[in-house]
Amino acid sequence: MNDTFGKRFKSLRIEKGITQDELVKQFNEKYFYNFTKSSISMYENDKQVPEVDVLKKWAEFFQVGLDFLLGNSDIRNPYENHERISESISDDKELLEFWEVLKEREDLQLMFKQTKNMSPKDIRQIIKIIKAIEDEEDAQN
Amino acid sequence: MQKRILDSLINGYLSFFDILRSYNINLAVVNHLSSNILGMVYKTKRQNYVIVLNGNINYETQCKVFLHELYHIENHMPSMGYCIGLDMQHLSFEKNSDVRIKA
Repeated sequence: MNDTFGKRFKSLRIEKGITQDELVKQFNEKYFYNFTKSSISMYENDKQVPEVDVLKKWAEFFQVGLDFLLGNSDIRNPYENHERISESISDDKELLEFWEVLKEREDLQLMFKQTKNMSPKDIRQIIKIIKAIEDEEDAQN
Repeated sequence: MQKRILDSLINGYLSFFDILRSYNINLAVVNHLSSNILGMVYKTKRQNYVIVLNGNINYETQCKVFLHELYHIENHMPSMGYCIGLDMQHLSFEKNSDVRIKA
């Protein structure tokens, strides 16, 4: 369903508007590695995937989530919506407390079928519904 | 397959619950949902999937949204990590889920 790691990696480099040489130079300077242009070429051609600790640095470098970088998800950065949600419910203490716990769940999965970008009112409604679902499940168990 | 299920839902030969009986999925139809949101799918802390449909949209659209969310549960969510999909309507896998239903 998604791109490969190599395809994602290459598109992120092109998005930055830099060559493989420039990319490896910037990355090495920032994280004190000694990678060469050939490593980048191997990545982009799906001949090699970096070790996990290096992969995390690449995700940080490109400011994307690991799943996005690996091609497992189309969601560029799963954490970028946190602040927007918190702001939308900031005047409701109970809802905010619920959200603070919810967002820390490592297995949190929430997807929408929508027609327009969500307004703060829409977001508040969604969090209320999720809370009601969780409350009901708690009551049943 | 999806098209046949959709037709059966629209024609009343199948209900949402007939399909959900085969899965560990709950359904909620919410009547006061904003018209911008057609539906959503959420995995609870007890690892149960819940499909929420907007009760104010017509039944045929509800059927399509229902199958769209089911497609996410079957094909996307098991391999995905942390995900809060606000404003996903332009992403390729959202469009892909629609295309599969139309096919």
